[in-house]
Amino acid sequence: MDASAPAAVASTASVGMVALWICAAYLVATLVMGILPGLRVSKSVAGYVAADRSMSFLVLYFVLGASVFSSFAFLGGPGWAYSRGTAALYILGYGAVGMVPFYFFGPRARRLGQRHGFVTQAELLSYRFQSPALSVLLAALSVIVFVPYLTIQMKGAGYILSTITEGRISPALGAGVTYAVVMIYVLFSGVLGVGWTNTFQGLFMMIIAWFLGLYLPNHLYGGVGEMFRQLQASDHAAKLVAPGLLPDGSPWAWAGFSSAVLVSAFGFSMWPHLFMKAYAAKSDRALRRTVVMYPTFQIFLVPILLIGFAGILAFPGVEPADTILPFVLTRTDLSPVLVGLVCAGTLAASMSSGDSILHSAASIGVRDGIAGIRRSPLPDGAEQLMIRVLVVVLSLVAYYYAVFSEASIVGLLLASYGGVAQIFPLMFAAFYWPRANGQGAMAGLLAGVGVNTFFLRLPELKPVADLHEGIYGLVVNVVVLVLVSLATPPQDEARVRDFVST
Amino acid sequence: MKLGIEFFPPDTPPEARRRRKSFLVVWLLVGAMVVWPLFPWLGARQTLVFGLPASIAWVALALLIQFVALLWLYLGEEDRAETTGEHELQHGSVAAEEG
Repeated sequence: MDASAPAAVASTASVGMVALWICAAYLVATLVMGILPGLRVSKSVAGYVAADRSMSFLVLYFVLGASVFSSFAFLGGPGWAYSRGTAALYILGYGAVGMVPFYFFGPRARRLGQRHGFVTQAELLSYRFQSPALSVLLAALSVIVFVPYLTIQMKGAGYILSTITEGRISPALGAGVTYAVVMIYVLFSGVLGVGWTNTFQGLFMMIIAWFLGLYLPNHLYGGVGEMFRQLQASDHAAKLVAPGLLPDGSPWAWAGFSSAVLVSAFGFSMWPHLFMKAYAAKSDRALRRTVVMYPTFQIFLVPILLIGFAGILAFPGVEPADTILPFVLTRTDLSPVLVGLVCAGTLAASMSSGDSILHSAASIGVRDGIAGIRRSPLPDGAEQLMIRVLVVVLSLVAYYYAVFSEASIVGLLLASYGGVAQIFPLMFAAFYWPRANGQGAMAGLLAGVGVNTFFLRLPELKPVADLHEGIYGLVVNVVVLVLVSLATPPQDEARVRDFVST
Repeated sequence: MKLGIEFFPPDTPPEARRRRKSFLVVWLLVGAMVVWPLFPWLGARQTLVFGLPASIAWVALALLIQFVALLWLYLGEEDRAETTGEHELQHGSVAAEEG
């Protein structure tokens, strides 16, 4: 060890302490911003779940943008770029096309929601297909895919606080404190709390992403172009060849990359927490504008990925790769205040997705799951209480997995996408295929989810090994939906027209 | 009851149908740009474009095309809605929608 090492360690520790204080201040600010909107929204379930259908373009833009800027993007994206190179481009690829269906589905869902009082995705589909069982099935599917998604966000928060304090705060404690804050404002304010904190967090993250993505390559290599030239001339050149590498360092097959893009693109607008925001929108115009502007959020992922590429030559061997961003931060000569702000921005990425997921998962679990089993609506007060209880329960379940699961951040999300993508054929059929009926929808969804889960558990049985299991699920889902619908009586014409002609 | 897919409500004017169909073609093209075979064929060269690996520049281009196409679709539909007064009919006053 050289003579300057103790001084460097001490300096890293002090940077960590300053960053930690800034993160703490940020958590307090978020808590206040999250609680305040709850004072002005109505106390009804529509207020708690759909913000009394009052969200403007600006808030919607940031709420939907937050689904891009999650721990998955802020930590998983650089993590993949660092360890698997251009494989990380699949995130940009599916984002380029994945939100577009919402331009068409969203306004229709909003109008139907206003007409019939829907606040969840399952309410819409179960009404169209006249199937309360479908509502329960969708609720179960949603909650199951939400848990890993929420786990990802908690893991991210834990990584940040643990890395900047060099392990003095454990990942478990970091995730616990951060999500205690999230839980409080979600319990108190519902979706409006989520909306306003996401706006604050979104602005913060945009600035941080561009700053860091351009600063690090410049600081470490003298520029973005120079960074890639050095990478091309190094042993890591294979990371720049699309579609990148697998976790073991071998090249990723185009079948694997392309199917990951397709499954994620189909699943993107079907995430129930994202879809539900159609009901919170003030107008069709606000919703459409949000989708139009969405690529402006997506393009922010480019500098985020540059952070990961910047770490390859400068900081080899960082494990787990998902911690590369906070690791790099603590080893550059950025001012401690800036490091703190970047860490707070990364916490924002985790929290802005986690709060929305938590709120949606609990709302869906109660409104579609429990109420669906009862076959009659719960009293408003009881429903709100049960949603809040479920917020706590789901937080604890995800926290358990965040602390004990070893899976990578991107890997966890990719597995969830296979399940959520199975909702796409039903949604498309609900709006555009009058002949689709409840039996077909139910059979298609069960078959799609079943096949996806089967190949997820037993990947060695896949006919084409590299294809994402969700592709098999989607093919079977569509075939079964069509065949069963055609073999069974059509749905009530008036109800179908309500959807197809709206 | 029809067996086919109905992309448009019956009262959608021909011009609006054409615009949406054109947009869907661009959307499919952008989708094709980010998967096999277009991506490996055109976008996965081992060169740098504006200092970025060609593959990153290619995906960023796909994103840009998608943004422009969405903007074109939206502005065209807004123009039509303003002309026909669709906003007022379907969703209350335009002023109430601003936000």
